Amino acid sequence: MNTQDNLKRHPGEETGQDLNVLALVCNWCTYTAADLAGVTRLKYPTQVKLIRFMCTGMIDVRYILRCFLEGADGVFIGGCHPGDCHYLSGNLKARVRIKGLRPVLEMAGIPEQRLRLSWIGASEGKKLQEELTGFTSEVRKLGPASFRQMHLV
Amino acid sequence: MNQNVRALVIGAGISGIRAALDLAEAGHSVLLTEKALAPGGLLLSLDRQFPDNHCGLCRILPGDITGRVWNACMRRGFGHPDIEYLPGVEVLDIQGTPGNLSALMNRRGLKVDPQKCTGCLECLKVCPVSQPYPLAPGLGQCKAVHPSAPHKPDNWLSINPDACTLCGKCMEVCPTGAIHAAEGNGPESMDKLSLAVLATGVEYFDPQLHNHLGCGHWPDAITSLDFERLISGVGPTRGVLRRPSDLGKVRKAAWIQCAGSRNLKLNADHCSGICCMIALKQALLAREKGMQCALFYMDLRTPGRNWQKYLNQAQQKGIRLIRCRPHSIVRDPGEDSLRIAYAPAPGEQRDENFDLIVFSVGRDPGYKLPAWAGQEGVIVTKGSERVLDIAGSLIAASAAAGRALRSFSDSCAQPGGEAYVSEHEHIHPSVLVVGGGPAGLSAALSLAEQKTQVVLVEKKDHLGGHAIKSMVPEVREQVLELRDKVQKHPEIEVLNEARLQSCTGPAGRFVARLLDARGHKREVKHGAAILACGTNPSRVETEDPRIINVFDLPEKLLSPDAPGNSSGRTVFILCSGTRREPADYCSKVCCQLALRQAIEIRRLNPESEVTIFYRDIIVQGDDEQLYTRARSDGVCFIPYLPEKPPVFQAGEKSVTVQGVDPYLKEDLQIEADRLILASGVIPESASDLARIFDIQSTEHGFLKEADVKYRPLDSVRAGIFVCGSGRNPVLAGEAVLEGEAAAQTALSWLARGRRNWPGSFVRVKTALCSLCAMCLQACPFKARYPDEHTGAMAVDALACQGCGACIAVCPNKASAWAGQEEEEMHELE
Repeated sequence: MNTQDNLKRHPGEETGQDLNVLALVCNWCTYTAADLAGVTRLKYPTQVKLIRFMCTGMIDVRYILRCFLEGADGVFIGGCHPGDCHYLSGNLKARVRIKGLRPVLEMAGIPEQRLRLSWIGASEGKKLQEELTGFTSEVRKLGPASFRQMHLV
Repeated sequence: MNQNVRALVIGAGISGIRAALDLAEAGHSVLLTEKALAPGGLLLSLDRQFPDNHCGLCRILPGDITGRVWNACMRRGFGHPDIEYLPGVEVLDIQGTPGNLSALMNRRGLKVDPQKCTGCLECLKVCPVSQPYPLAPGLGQCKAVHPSAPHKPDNWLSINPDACTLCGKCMEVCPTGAIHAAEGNGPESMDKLSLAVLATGVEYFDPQLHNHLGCGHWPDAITSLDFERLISGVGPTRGVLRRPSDLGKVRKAAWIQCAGSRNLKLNADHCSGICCMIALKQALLAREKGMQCALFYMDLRTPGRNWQKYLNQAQQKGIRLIRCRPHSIVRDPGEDSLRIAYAPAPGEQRDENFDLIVFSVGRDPGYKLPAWAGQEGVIVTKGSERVLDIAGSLIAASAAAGRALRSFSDSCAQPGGEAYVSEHEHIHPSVLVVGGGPAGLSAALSLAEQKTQVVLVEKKDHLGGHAIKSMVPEVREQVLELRDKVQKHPEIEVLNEARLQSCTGPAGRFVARLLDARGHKREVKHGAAILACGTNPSRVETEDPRIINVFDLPEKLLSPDAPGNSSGRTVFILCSGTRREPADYCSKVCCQLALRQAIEIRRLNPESEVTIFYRDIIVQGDDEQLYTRARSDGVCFIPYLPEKPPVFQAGEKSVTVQGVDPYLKEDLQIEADRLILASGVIPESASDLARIFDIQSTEHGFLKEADVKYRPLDSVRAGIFVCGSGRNPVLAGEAVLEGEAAAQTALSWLARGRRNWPGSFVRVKTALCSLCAMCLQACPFKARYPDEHTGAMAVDALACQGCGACIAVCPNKASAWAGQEEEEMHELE
């Protein structure tokens, strides 16, 4: 199943949920934080879909662009705190890459607020909840992404 | 797997897990028992750990063994096919002889099946028991059935056997039938155990029991262990710091150090070693939340290269450090907060209000090992004797596992011998040890006793390093004994006066080139390297014979014609060259050396006067007794501030030392016959080694480990290990332990070939590779290299850790996640 179908079939279309937020998260820190958030029964918006990567350092900018092209309203990237990367410097690589991507997104008409990079450690389930909730409401303010409205892809 | 050796590891805290993993990696079957219901011990209740304030237990666990890299975090469980994990089992006694031990165990209470439990919480509704919630100390009650650990998704409810009345109501209501009585409830005997490793950890001091400064009386005065849960994001207050008494907001918090340690009244003449760091960490975390923090301490003990940096960081972040032991805690009528009364200097009385007071607790002075710990065949980890930090516990556990295996290396075919002769064609079954100090010697001997070939390279013409001149007879003897054994061992080749020039080749197939004592070139093939270079005393630049380096004193001290040896005055200045830039680290060895010397001087000449200027006396564990003894022997201790170090001037008759008396607040002048400077140690050869082996070094030139907490002896490169003072200043005894642990880590690495290694995580499509070498730069583990045969960049399967950094940078999509192509990545389900 490709991303597009996945997003089209999103329950939001039936239940009035409005957004597609993709969270590309690192396996070791942020995904564990999501686990922890689950165990402690913290709720975060159902619009968010987590996609697990081994490391934020392996998130190619093409993946992010593809997310937007296929109808994501916001892309959230969660990695380990600087200095805490399981693979030493993957998160720093992601930071550099995303910094480079932002102007490209602007040129393509995607406001940079739709892309957020955040450091969330494995024990920070609470922070994950706060960040995802905050990000989703920020994306909601921006409204649905133009790419999605245009049905470009 | 060798079924002949069956090891019992008692305690599934970090030490126990490490020891069990080491034993299992060596090919033995391991029983890992834990008294509590969740593994992880104390560590599970700590959200963030010093010295980088992150968690990260995922790093020690062998994620690749099951081929499921993601299943390798403590919080998501750990697995190893050769380790049988028995939670809720207490070991009562061990008897027998090594090779045939039998353990008496007690399996306790009801058990919740983690596979069946859905976390619906029906059982909580019917449980009639109410007990203090162990994960939220002082903050409410819970049922006998409760979450077993704060971060355990797979087994998240458990039943406290001590509180459970066995009424069985929960069994009735459980919709999935997950609750059942543990099999074989009650005492049972486990026979035919080859050996046992005791890794239970120590017991912590309970200030309530001793009514220490009113702890227990004031609900807002808590222990540092309780504070960890209070500040945890998933703790009882969801990470908002609140007063336990009325849940009011905390604005000001104070830490009081040395609760139950360094206290002669409690018969606690020991330093627990890590409480200073714990308090600094907690204060830093509280500071992040905007709290005002004060720390009451006697000496801030931050030895080594990392901890000093942490202290500096705490000071920069505005944590107040007050050198004083508060005498009382009271609450004024009508006040919410507690008042700490203290006297920072004679005649000066101060008091200050705090919302929360944290006692930094250490080892309980009454703590004793169980009687059966002395049984032959039971190996006790160092972490069960004193409080250790994470790295220290792991090192001690690996060393204990190594000792356990060595005691069996004669009687069983494995480990060693054929076992470590790898079937993997790519790992050469020998180890290069660099450095012949205590760490290098013990590493070489541990390896050789487990039948692994060792080449020991030493720069100097003799083995033993600086430790053979040690002031402590036991250390001297231990090192000399190690040296003799190493020199006689047939598996060890010693190359004295050798110069290493280069080390090349991919992981497991290293080739070192060196010049031997006669200047001949030589190549050494090796599968792993242990870098155990030490440090050298930094030089004291003076011609004056009365000004002596603390490291040169032992010889001069004993000669009868030494100046000032009669009834003269001796002055020590500690930290005279370290703990400030350019050497902003603690050398760890100088304090205890100076204390020993001061005691010795007073013993030789009771008439003599000894004064020690110090910043913090940094001695840990039972070395605290040296400090106590020096004080009772009449050595005068004067603290100084780093901004105002004592200055000295060599005059004709004497050396004049000028300092400030912090209590009288007056200038002080001492005419000394002899001035001894502790100028610390410098890692002279470490940065050269780091260059040769292509690993990282710190700004001060120490060898850098892969992870400061969880992989203290691994370097970033697979197959290259670091230990000893060249990594982090240590005492000789600790260096021996590190050497043994490094040997064990290296053996686990060599044994990789024996396992069914899953292969690289990254696949290279050679036709697409344009040799741009972007991956070479991106790989943090140096696992990518140009392959002559294929004409493309290849992946060293043994070094690859699967981060995917090379995949992201590859412009031609030539690197791909093994089993997951670019297109698949775009078609996520």
